[in-house]
Parts: sequence; structure tokens; C-alpha cells
Amino acid sequence: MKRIPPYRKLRGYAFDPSLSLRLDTVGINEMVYMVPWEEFATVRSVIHQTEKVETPGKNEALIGEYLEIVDYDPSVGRFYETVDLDDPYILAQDGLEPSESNPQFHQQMVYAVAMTTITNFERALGRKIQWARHIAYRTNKGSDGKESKESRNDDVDDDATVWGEGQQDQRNENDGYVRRLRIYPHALREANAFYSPTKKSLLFGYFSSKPADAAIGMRGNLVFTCLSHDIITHEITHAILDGIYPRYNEPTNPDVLAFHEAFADIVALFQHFSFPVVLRHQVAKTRGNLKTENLLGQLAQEFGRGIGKRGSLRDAIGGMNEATGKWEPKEPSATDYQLLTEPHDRGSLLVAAIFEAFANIYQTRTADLLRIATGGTGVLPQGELNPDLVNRLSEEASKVAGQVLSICIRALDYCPPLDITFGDYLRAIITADIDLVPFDNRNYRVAFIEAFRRRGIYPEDIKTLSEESLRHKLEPVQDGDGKRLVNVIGKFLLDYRKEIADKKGRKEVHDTNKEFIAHGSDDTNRGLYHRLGRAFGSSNGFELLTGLAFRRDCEPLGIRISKIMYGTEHEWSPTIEVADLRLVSRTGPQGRQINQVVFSILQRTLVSYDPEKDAFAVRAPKYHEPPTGSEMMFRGGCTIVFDLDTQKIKHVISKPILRFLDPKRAETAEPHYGRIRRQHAFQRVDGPNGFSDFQQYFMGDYNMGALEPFAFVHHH
Amino acid sequence: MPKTPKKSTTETTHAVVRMYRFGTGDCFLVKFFAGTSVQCKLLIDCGVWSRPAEEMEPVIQQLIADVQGKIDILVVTHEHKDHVSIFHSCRAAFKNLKVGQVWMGWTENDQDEVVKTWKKSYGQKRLALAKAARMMNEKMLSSSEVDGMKNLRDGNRLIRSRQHFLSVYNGLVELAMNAEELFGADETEVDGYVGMLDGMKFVKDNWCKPEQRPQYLEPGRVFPMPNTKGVKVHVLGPPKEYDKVKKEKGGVTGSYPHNFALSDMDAYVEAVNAFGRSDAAMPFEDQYAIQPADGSDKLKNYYFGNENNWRRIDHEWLMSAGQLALRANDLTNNLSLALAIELPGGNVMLFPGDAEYGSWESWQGIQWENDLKAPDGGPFVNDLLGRTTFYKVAHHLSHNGTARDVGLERMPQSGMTAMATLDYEHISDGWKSTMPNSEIVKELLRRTSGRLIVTNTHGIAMKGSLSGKDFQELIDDARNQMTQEEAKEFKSRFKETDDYFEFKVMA
Repeated sequence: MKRIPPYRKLRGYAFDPSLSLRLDTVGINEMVYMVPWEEFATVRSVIHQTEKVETPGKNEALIGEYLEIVDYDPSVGRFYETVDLDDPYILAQDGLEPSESNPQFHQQMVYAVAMTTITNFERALGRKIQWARHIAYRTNKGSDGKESKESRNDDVDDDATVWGEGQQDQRNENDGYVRRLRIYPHALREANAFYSPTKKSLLFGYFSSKPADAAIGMRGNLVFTCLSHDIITHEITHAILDGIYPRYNEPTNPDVLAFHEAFADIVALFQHFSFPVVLRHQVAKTRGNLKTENLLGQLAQEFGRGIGKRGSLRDAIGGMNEATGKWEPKEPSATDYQLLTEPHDRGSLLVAAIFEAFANIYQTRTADLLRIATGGTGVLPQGELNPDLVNRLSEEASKVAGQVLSICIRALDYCPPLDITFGDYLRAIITADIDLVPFDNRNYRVAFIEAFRRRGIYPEDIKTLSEESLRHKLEPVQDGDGKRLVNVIGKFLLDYRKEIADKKGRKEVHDTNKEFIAHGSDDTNRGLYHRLGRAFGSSNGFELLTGLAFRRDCEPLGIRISKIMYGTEHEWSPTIEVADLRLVSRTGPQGRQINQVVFSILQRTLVSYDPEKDAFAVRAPKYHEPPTGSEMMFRGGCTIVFDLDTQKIKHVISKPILRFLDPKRAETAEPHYGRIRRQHAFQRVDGPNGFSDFQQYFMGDYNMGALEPFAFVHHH
Repeated sequence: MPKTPKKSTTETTHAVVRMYRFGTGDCFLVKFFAGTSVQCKLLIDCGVWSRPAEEMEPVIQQLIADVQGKIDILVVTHEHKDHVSIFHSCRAAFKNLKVGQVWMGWTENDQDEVVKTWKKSYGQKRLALAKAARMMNEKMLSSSEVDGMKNLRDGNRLIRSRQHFLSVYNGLVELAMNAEELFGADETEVDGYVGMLDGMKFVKDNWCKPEQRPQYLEPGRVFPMPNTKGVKVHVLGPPKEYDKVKKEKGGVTGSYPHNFALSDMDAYVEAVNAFGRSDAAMPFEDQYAIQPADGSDKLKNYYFGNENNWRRIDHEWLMSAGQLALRANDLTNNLSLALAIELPGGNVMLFPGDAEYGSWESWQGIQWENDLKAPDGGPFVNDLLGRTTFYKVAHHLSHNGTARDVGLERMPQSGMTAMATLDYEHISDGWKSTMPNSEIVKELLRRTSGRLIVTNTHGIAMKGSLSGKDFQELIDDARNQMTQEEAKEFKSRFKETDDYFEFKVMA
């Protein structure tokens, strides 16, 4: 009997083609990626939405479950033939041989690395990843038979990215589900690659190399960004993160886009450690000290040199001194976080912090090995390390790297749905880890806190930088609202777990989520949106808990009131979006099991600012209304972590839209001026806010820039 | 060498700087005086972003009359429209102007072999800029494109952002080149753009003949201002780096030297310039491309099909031209002839053209004639900056026109006067996002006590920390802080007409 193999083996570069030209790395740069086996779809089956009916042949796109690779180069108007990964000859030799001159290999490389990243993500997250939704307006036949297009003439803000807001969205049958991210390996002719949220596509560029001197590389040589493991991983991570938190595209503070960049780098870096041959080689070369110069801590070798730098594009632990050409370790400073504003520079702080936490944990964990290997001194002798020791050290490095990456990815579930700062992320890391691993016997959390502290990254509103205060804690809920919430959603979320648990397909998962958020307005079959709306149409305690408006009289606070239908009845309730519903079900290393449902609630208002008086005014936006003139879109939101086992709200991670002059009395609410002022200062001040010339010139206002944030940020 | 100065027996006492108010664009007339008699007349640039000739013609005629039809020195800082356009648009009037000598940066010496080679390769890039403009303007907002975008959730914003991109891009191209020259009436294309802006051409044709001994100045040069006594000219820019790179075959230190700075765009330039031609260079062998003969093109249909229209990437690659245009723009700004003119009393007048940070930074490393050093032994330029009492603000108050650490922060804390050409009634759209920069405005207002003189403050949108403020009010407020004596003195040295502002700089 034939069995489907678990993996498809595909050859590729561990880093990028440049390392195959260096004697010291040529032996480790070509590796075999183990990609989960999948059947490819054909263009015809996708267009006609049928199951696979024919074997892909010539002139196909490479279409899998998550990705579709369309190799079109618009600069020369050419389509390249798609590699047929099921071809027996190709299967027999683990894919095409790595080659810069064969575009089919480029496709294979992008596919292999992107799928590897997706697989790593799903393993850490414990669920299938989804791409962000795409909304197009359907042409409707009106009752008069004439075609009308919804919202055609309106400028539309993007509340429609989530199903919750208003029932208008439910009329839209095109729910924007994007099954496959599209990848264009040869889309641009520039030292650039980016994720396009509007096209749900990755665009990779290629460019002529301009090395700093002839010893580094050949001038004019074409450099393909789609052949770089690090760049591919970085870009696909942007897309994955966008699928989880679409609001992280909105730069509301200097950390938001920097976080996107840093997170993408972190994933790329730690993926290096899952390549055993590379790892052993580098452990041997650095004699086990991963804080010295090594390939594992560096990103995009060829790209960096191609744009005229002396070393890699980015390096987590050090950098090339451009004057001397020598590598130097980078010493963190407590003022870094204040001073660095360009998203990549700022992001590199977060990357360095995480890498340092990793390196310290690794060092602590391997101290005993070094002592064993050195007769108790811990001082390594001159010369090469014993290969057995190299293997053991590599195992430890690989294990710790895997754990650190998992910690970083899992923390996403404990982040606010918008306006993230590095401090928020640190709190998420600590909270997620405490929930899963109550007893931190190896001091992982201390390692993280210390690495952040050394760079001056502190969360706001924290009195001391301890594990205890960093952890998101829940204030007791006032006037029984917590209990009310449990009544309203407790059983409902248990049902959700039951439903979602046996959904295997990603589309099914998506549809189930949609149903549990938005569907049904009758009493028995009501989604989260309706339940929350009805339960909290007027709730003081819930306002204090979330920092969002839940009173009917919300328009003075700038929150629109909307009509919610319940069967044939209706009620008026503050407008909310419900988003990011997911089941978090994990087992920790100490056997601790957590079963949580996490979702986000968001609200928005339009703010105008009078600098003369340093005063703000808010106004409730109309349905889908964007800011006009000098107005600014201001959002608040929170992530709610509900524990299924104890039937309690475990955490509320909030970016409040309201502040309370008296923190115990909801009637003292006003718009959250502190957050408004901070966002305004960042978005409207032309001082050192980290925007490149390119952004300043071409991006236009913030609303336009948010459409393709990565296209603008990624320019060099 | 500049002309041997006529012997002037009387020491120069002051200079009067006149800034013409044509719009966003430079035109400065500087007269050096000994007492009441004019020793030397210097005209620096004559251009404006966009304005019909007939509005400026009378002013130019008056200018020429004011200088009795002759100036001693014409300085052309760099080839951007806002610095040279009026030479062409008012060419009839300028025909009547006699020019003693033209000064330009060493990069304008068209006879120099290094400059020739560089201009040729730069010409390819400028050609690409113009071709990309043409393609983008044709395609990116065509009616079918717009219809496609309208169906998307963010459709209107996408359309607006494309409009914005194109408007800024077109502005950058128009600023730097005469695109019409590229495409003749028969649409045949030239090989590379070697031509120049009409205004620059006029200057070179009329006043830069070899016998007129035009001067192409290099940084580090120091020489007396002709016909004056005690006035010295110090050349700061354009920087010399790209020459250095040539000599050292790619040996680079620190920042990217400018001829290299664009070479990573070579593949882009090649593709744009060869677009649609059969000899276009391909990144891969033909065998990998799907040939039309292959029959049913599933992949093509998939890409072009209606369902996936929103994911097409036909134009994104062209938009890389934005990056190229911006860098070319910076490069030309950095090629500005930057002069520090030292008066007999030690006061310095700084005319940096539109020099951006890269140029300012390079001044720190200049090897000066006679090995000049600052009193503390540091770079001599810091001494000059420290004595700057008059500053022609570079690049219309933009964020990168005035360097902070190696520029403004080394200038005097008080007592300065600054002039800036900025006028929202005559300006390129793309500039409004960066001009004026609030931090620079604030710093200048502080150091000048309000002696910041701007072409036209009307309607200028202040940004950032000054957002919502009125520029003129800010200036007036700062001036109100002056002591009575200061105010009186300023009043006596400042003159304002509809056509120009004038300020007297004491030696």
C-alpha cells in the first residue's frame, strides 16, 4: 500500500548563494529542507474551486495549501515556467540543484523556506495560521435590478477587516477569505522585498550588487532576494503576523512597525538553529561561544554586501566596523530605546534583547557540559573542540533556540490587538510563560527581563521591573460584570472549543470563527458580537476593565452607537469590533495544560487636535468613515484571555480608548488624552520620528501610508 | 584661478544681501561695499519652482538695471530648476547682462574626463527616470486601473496614494531635467540624457566659454573676493569623494560616495531603458521563459484573470523609480557649490546652495590650502561655522538641508541672520511634507532672534511640534523678544519690498 510521505525533501541554500562562494561555508550552505508533504493544486482546480482533477503540468503556478507562487517578472514582461516538484526526476534528487541562474530553483527555494517557516509557526502556536482578510465590494443587484456597489463612493476605513461591526458586513457574501498568500519571486528590480497587505502577496526584488570593494563581491552581479533564507523568512513572517494582528500595520507609536520588523528578524534568526549542520559548524567555529561573531546571529549576508556594507544586513550581537572592516560586539546602552527611531534600528534593539536572552540561557545551560569536558575547570583548551562536545553543545543550542522562539511566538496571544510597544511584548512574554510554566527553575524569565532592561526597554505604568509586576494581572471586576460576562460567554466559548477542535481545514476554521463572532441574531444561536453587545450595552464594570466604552450614551465620548438586531427586535449599543478569536490549548514542559479562548474587542474614534490650546476633540465616526482633513484615527482595544477550565477571565490586555479620572468610577470617563497625545506626537511631529526621506516624500498622509507600510519601510 | 583681483585700497565694510521673492527658488544678489561705494557684485542662482516668465520679467529687468547691466561674479550652485530656471525663462533680459566670471562646482566642468564619464552613466539613470515617469503616468491611473481599484475596500485610498506618489515623483523629475528633450517629435529615444536644464544651458552657452575663464571650484580652495579688500572666499563643496573613489578603485570609507550610491539601481535602469525593446537584457536564459508558442497559458490566464486582478503587480516595479529619483535629487543637491565668504572683520556669510547632510559632513574632512585649521586644531570649517553671522538656509528649510550636528549646532547661539526661499504659492507638491522642518525653524528663530527672513510665509503649513502655528506669527513673536536696541538695529539694516528682502551684513 502506498502511503503519503510525511515530508518532501527540497534542496536549498541555508543562507544565500554568497556563502557557497566562501571556502569556510561552502560545505554547510547547501542543505535539504524538510517540507510537509502536500498535493499541489492546478490553476484550473483553483479557479473552478474543485478538488484536484489533473496533475499539474506545464505552465502552471505552484499552488499549495498556503502559498501560490506566480513567477512573473513585469520588468521584462516574462512568465517563467513553474517548477514541477512532483516530477519524478526532481523528486528523486531532492529537488532542483541550487542555482542562481535557474528561476525554477528560485521558486523551489522560496517555497521550501516559506513552508518551513509556516510549519515552525504552527508548531509553536498550536493552531493553523491564516492570512489577513481581503475585502472587495461585491456588485449587488438592487431591488430595482440595477447594479449598485456598496460603499463605492465612500472612502472607507477598514473596520470591515473584522466581521463584528454592524450587520452591514454580514450582507457581504465575499467574506474576504484569502486561502493562499501569493509569492512573486521576481517582482522588483531593487534592493528590496516586501509584504503587500493590499495584495496579500510577497514581492521579491533583485538588483545589481555594489560591494564596498572587489574582495567582497563582484560589482554588478545580480543579487536575488528570493534566494536568501533570511529575507524569505522575514517577509513571510510579516504576512503571518498581519494575519494575526492586522492593526499592527498602523504606526501609532514608534514601536509598532519596529515590532513587525523585529519579530520578522527574530523568526529568521532562530530558524538558523534548526539546521543541524550549520549549527554544529558554527558552534565549532565559535568554540561554543555564541556571543562572538557567527552566522547564526546575522541576517542577509549577500544583501548586506550587495548594497555596499562590509557585513551582513543586520547582526543581532555585533557589527562590522565600516572603517576597520573588523567585527565588533555591540554593547547595549540604557539610552538605546530612547534614541533609535528608524523602524529597523529600533527593531534591532528588540532582536538583540531576545538574542541576548537566548545566549545567556544557553550559556547557563551548557556551563556544566563545559566543566565536564574540561575536568571541572570550565576553561576550554586551545585548538578545536572535541566533536562530541560540539554535538552536545549544538543540541543544547538547538533546544534553547526552539524554546525561545516558541516563547516569542506564543507571547503573541497575550499582546494587545493594536498600538503595541516593546514593553507590552515583554509583558506578554512573561505572562504567557508564567501561565504555561509556573515554576521558572531555569530562570528563563529573568534572562528576558535582564536583556530588556539593559537596553532601557521598560513597559509603561510598571513600578518595578519584576516578574510579578510585569505579569498581566486582573483587577477584581466591579458590580458583578465579570460574573455576567462568564454567564454570557462561558458556555458559549466551551462550545466554540468543541466546534473548532475538530476543524481540520483552514477554511473550516475560518468559517467557524466567523460564525462564532458574527453569525446569528436569535437567542439560541448568537455570535460573540451580539452577546457582548447585549450583555454590555450598559456596563460600568466592563468599561473599567477594558478601557472601552460600553454605555449607550457613548457618542459624547466619540464612539458611534449602532443598531443591533436581535431577531426582529433591535437594541442600540456602542460600536465594537470583535476580532482575533482563537483557541489556545497547550501543554507546558512541566505538564501544565492550559485551555484558553482569546479574542479582541476594538473601538475607534476620530480626533482633532488644537495645538494652540493643546486640546483635543473627539467625534463619533459614521459607518466606515475615515478621518478627514487634519483628523486622526484613534483606536482603543483589548485582548481578553478567557480560561475555559476555571471559567474565568484570566487577563485583559488593554489599550484603553477611555481613561477614568477616578479609576473606580466609570462616570468619570473621558477620551484617553495620554494615548491620543502620544499618537499625535508620533504621527504628526516631523522631528526625529524615524521616517526616511522616501516615506516623507512619497507616503503621503498616514492613512495612505498604512496601506503598504512595508513597501515604504523596507527601502534602504 | 579666479581673476586676479583689481587692487582695492579701501577695506570692505559690509555686504548687502538681497533675496528676490520669486517663490520657492533661489536668487540672491550680494553687493560688497566700502563705505558707500560698491566694490563687487555677486549674483547667486536665479530660479523658481514654477512661475510664468512675464511675472518675473520686470523684476529681472530692474535687477539688471540696478547692477548697471553688469555683475562681477555669477554663482550657479547646482542644476535644479529652482536655481536656474529664470536664466532661461527671462533669457531676453539676461542677454543684456554682462558677467565678469562664472563660478560653479568642479562637477560642472564638462571638459573634465572624470566628470564626462560620470555624467554619461548618470545620464542613463536620468533617462530611466524620465522613461519611468512616462510609463507610470500612462499606466498607473489609467481608467481600467482606477476601476479595478475602486472595487477594493481601500480603493479610494489606493487611488489617492498613487496620485500622491506620481505628483511627487513628477515634481522630482521636473526639478532636475528637461524630459521633453528625451523624446523627440517622432518618439525616437535618445541613448542617455546628457542634456541639461534650459537655464543651465543658457548660462554655459553665454557665460562659460573658455575665454571667459569660468571657474569650477573644488573644496579646500581659499581666495580673495575680486575687487574687494579683506574678503575671502572658502570653498566647502561639492565634496570630492567620487573622484577619490575613481582613483582608489572602490576604496570606500564611511558613508557612500555619490557616484557609487546609485549603482545598485543599475539593473533597474537597464530594464526601464530597454523596456519593450527586443534587446532588453534578461535576468535568465530564454529557455526558462514561457514562450507564446507553448499553447494554452494557464499561468498567464491565472495572473491576468479577473478573480485575481487585485493581486497583479504590473506597476510596483516601476515605482522603484521613486527611490532612484530621490537619491538622484539628493545627489544633485549635494553637488551644490557651497561657499563661506569671510568678511574682513571675521564674520562669515554661508551660502551652501542646497547642500544636504552628506555635503555638510564632508566639510569636516576638507584639506584646506595652507593647511588651515580651527584654533582648537580641529577642522577649519568649524571655525567658519562658528563665525557665521549670515546663513542662506539650504534647501528651503527642509529637514536634511541643514545639518544639525555638523552644521547648525556649530553656528553662533545668537546674533545670526538667516534667509530662506520658501513660498507655498510656488512650490512642488512633494516638498510640502518636508518644508519647513519645525525643529530647524525653531532653532533658527532662537539663534537669529527672529531675523529669519522667508520669501513668503503666507499659507505655509507648519508641521510637527509647531503644527497649527502661523509662521509669520512665530517670526513676529521672536522679533518682539529683541531688545529695543536690537530691534532698532535690525530695522536699520533690513529692507523689504514686494520684489525682494534686503539685509546689510557688517564686516
